[in-house]
Order: sequence, then structure tokens, then C-alpha cells
Amino acid sequence: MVEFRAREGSVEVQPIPNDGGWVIGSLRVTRLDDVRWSFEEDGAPPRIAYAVRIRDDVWLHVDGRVHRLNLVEAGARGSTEEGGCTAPMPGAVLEVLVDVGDEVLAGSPLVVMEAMKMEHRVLAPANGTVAAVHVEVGARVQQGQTLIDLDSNTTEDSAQR
Amino acid sequence: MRSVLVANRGEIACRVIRACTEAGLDSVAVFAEDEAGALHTELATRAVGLTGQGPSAYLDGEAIIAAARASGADAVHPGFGFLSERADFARAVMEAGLVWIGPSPEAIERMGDKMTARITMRDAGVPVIPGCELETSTTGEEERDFQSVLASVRLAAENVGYPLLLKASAGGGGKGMREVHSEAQLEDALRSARREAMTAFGDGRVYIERLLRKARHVEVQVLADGHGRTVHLGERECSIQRRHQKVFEESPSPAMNADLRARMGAAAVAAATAVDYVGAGTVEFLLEEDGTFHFLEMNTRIQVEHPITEAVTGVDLVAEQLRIASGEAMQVGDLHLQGHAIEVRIYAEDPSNAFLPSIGPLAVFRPPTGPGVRFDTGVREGDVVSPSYDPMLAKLVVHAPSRRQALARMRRALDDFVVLGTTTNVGFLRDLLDLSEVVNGTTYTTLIDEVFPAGWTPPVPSTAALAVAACAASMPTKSTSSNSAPSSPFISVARRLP
Repeated sequence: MVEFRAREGSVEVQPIPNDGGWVIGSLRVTRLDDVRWSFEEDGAPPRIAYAVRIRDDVWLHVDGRVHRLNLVEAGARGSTEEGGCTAPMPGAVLEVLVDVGDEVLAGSPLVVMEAMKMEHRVLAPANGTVAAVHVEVGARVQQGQTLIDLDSNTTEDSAQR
Repeated sequence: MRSVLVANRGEIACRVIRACTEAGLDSVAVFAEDEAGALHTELATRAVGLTGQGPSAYLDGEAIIAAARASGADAVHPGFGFLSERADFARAVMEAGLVWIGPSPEAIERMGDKMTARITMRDAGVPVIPGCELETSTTGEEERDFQSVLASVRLAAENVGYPLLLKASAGGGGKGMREVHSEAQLEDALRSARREAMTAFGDGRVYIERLLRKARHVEVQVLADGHGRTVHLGERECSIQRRHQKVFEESPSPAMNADLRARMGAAAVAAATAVDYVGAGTVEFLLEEDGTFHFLEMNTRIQVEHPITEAVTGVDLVAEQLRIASGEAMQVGDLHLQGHAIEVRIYAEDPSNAFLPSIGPLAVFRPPTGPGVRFDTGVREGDVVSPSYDPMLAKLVVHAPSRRQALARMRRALDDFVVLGTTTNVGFLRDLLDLSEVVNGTTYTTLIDEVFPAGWTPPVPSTAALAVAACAASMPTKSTSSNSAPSSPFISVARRLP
């Protein structure tokens, strides 16, 4: 659940992961690259939006307008990429923060990546134990490439809270 | 002339450096300590660091002349702002044996003092705003002195009539200026205007002008070379302002016709000729609804909004500045205006919070492109907007066959413009373009205050917008530290290489 501050109170949105993207009601959202997103509504042609999260704000450009949306519950969130331990975009590995056998908690950082001057932290999707580390510092990785294997202690995907 | 030092920063430095490159000249950029790696330093042939941070570094005339000498530059282009209208700097540049790309120090002085300019213009037959110059001392600290000034202002005010504007002769940028609506307000207004002018300029001389309401701000571009030729290049309508700063300019003015353009153009040429002007300059007028126009002031430098004149005349003003400074005759034919051009100024500011400057990273910065779109800026994606400098990030200029098409093009360009990470006025400008006054061309200088008395309100996000934002919220946060603390040494090193 994601909660944004609104003019009065707040707005809650629940994106549900689905086939490499997300579904929110009748909307389907797909991530195209670091900043570009595609969304389609009820069979209408897909449209493009630009969105980035900067600290506790999501900055968004859609239909010619910019919105700055403030997150109510800020803090570390798990990567919503399937498995949670894959590269969210092509780039370079800056830091590997765990070793095989480490116990990690959901939301704790595993790998720090960099692409297009942006730093990304790949977070643990659930509590678990590191089973394998597939990359080292300086490695160039492709989008979707598996970085870390994690043996989950629980079947609940805590990243989707 | 082989190498030009550009004594400025940001978009105008980039503009001038590009003109130098196109003219086959080397260019030298200067930069304050907090602007190492800025775009203008990369575009120039070489870049020289100045001592200190912030605007004061760019105001150090001695250091800039030393940088010119050290880097082998033989000319100095001041851009606008900073040292561009400082006669003493122009003089020092010339005394150092360098070419000053601008008018003579004498012309800068005669136009810089507003009261002197007013008298010069009136003597040259250029219409000035009904008003009265006053013989007053420059200090006026003593009460007895103040009382004598007040007496002469009161007498003059009766002839000029209320409401009136009390203006400091050394003033500018709204400083030392007061609206006076009745005699009862006169003493207070005079005291505060003189105090402000003394503090800001060290010169308390004042004059008065009748306050013209619903007048348009129309300015005429002039160009003069050292071979005796002075021409005007049509007008720019700059009526839409906020906090006495222009935000939307267009050429030609919707209020113009061929006869009025010829008369205002002739007045502008007379103004330039009266001070033996050489180079590019702008003569500003107030234009009343009945077609009466009055001299306001002359800007003795290249103007922010010069690109709209370039679009409709086909004249490259900065290239002509370089040509004229090197002693050649200007290459400008007869005036033929083609189509309509509009410029909006992109500011890092919050239109929903009294247009106060904003700061932040330019995490995503994707300017519009396409037919008839020109984008002049000094920043790029990944830069950080600091609070130290003027908040103008860029100028967006469109050119189209008609005014209606130019407005449509500007709407399209603003819709295409993506800036994330720093609050800008882009959304406000987009709404401004839908106002009936803008669509109809019936603009005036107090338009924004009257249409947005309670300020501007940003749009409410749609359901789809919230959905995309929620997905983006689950992504890792975008790093904004690359400028201040590069995570890889190669980032900063690559930036400094030419």
C-alpha cells in the first residue's frame, strides 16, 4: 500500500504486481526505463509518464503536468521486481553489501547499483538467508539479471505490504 | 579579435560562447568556485576559475580582466546583468588593451542615470513620460535638506498630477521606486524611496513621472555599428510580468501597426544616436491604449529576450555584436518581420508560493524539441539548482507563421517539457497561455496580479497519475548526490575535460 498526502487527508493506492508490471483497478502500469512509465486504461492506447522517487517525494510528469506527491509513510521499501534480487535496470554494481550465509531482513539493502548518475539500492524482498552472490563490485549487469539468491524464511512477500 | 572572454554564467554565457564558436573565435569561460563543471565551462575553448563563490565572483572586474590576460583573450563580452552596464568596468577593459563588446562607457553612463537619460531623450525629441526632474542633493541625510527636497517635489507633483511615480535616478529593478496616489502619501514615499536609493546606490536623487495605468511595456531593439549606421529591428511586447520581472515576451507586439512601428523605431534610433551608441541595445517604452508612447529607459547590453527578435528578423544579434566589436559593418538588410515569436522564461520558483525561488536536483530535465522550438539554457540533467544565483533556468522560444500558431506551439512545447526534482513555473506558464487576455493579446503589466490575486494553484493529480506515482514510489530513490559528492571519481573528471 502506498499513501500520498493530499490537500485534505491522504490517498491510498495499492499496486498489484502482474506480468512484469502492476495493475491498479482498471489501470495497467509498466516500467520502461529509469524514469519512463507506460500506463493504459480499459483498452485505451497506452500513454507515457515520467516518474522518479526522490527521498519522500514522487515527482511525476503526466499529460503535460508535473505533480510532486509526498509519501506519508516514507522509509525503505522492498524492490518490487520479481524475486527482489534482480537488477532493476542495466548498470554497474557499486557495492555488494552481503555475503553467502548472511541473515537479512526484508527491506535491508543487498546491492548498490548505479546507472545514468542514479544510485539504486536493491533491497531484500523478504526475511531470509543469502544463498548465492552472483556479482562483484564493478560488474556491468543487464536489466533483470539475478544478483543475489535468497532463501526466504517466509512465503509472505513483505515488499508488497 | 581572436579570443573572447565571456564575463558571465548560465544560459547567456552558453549563448555567447556558441556564437564565438560559430564565428571561428576561441572563447574563455569564467566560473565561480561553486560552478566548476557548469555547462558554460564545457562549451568554451578554455575555462578560468575565479576566486570565491556565488555572484560576487562574477562581479570582480579586476579578476576577470586578469583572467582575460592570463588566458590570452583579446576581447570581453559581458552578457547581461553582472558587469554588463558598469561603465567603470567597460573603461577598465579598454584600458587593459582589450576589446569591449558593448557601447562606450560614456553611453552606458548617460543611459544608466535615469534622470540624465530622461533629459537627453527629451532634448533629442524622444517623447518621455510627463513628469519633472528635480535638482536635489545626492545625500539628503539632514532634515533641513529633506524639507527643501520635499517642498520642490510637492510643487512639481502638483504640475504632474496624481497618481505619480517617484523614482530614484540611480534606481533599477524596482528599487527606489514608489507609487504615490495623493499628496498625503508624498512625504512618506519620498523618505523611504530616498532611503532605499541611498542604501542600494549611494545616490538619493529622485524625479517624478505620471503613473500610467494599463500601459503596455513595448521595447525596440536597436543595432549600431562603427560605420555610422543605426537601425531598429522591430519591437518586443513584454507586458506580462511578475514582481517587475518579465515572464512572457512576444514579437511583434499585438498592439503594433506599421505606422506606429515606424514612429517608435525612429524614436529608438534617435535615442541611440543621441548617445553615439555602438552595438546592440534596447529602448524601452510605455505604450498607452490610445497609441501614445513614452521613453522609459535604454538597456545598454544584449537583452534576455533577444531570441524572439532573432526569430522574426533572421538577424543573429550576438554574431552582429561580435562583428561590430571587431570593427566591421553590420550585415543587416532591410527590416522584414516574418511570423510570430514567443519566449517564456523558465524559473526555478514556486508559483503556488508567491513565486519564491526553489532549489533541488534536476533529476529529470528533458527540454522540448521539434519544429520552431529554441531552448537556451545553462543547465542539464543531473545538475543541482543552488540558491546562490538568479533562478532563471532557461528560455523557451517558439516561432510560427502566425500568433495563433505560435501560442499553440508554445502550449505543445510546455506540455512536452519534463522537469522533475525542482519546482519550476512551467505549469503556471501553461495556464497563463490559456488566459483570454493572452489569447487575445490584450496584455498589460499588472495582468498576473489581477488574474491570480490569491496566487496560482497546482492541478490535482488524476487517478492514473496517482497509480503511476504509487508504482514509482516502490522503486529505489533516485540519487541526487552526484554533483556534490560523486560516487565515482570518473564522473567529476569527465566533466572537467573539454
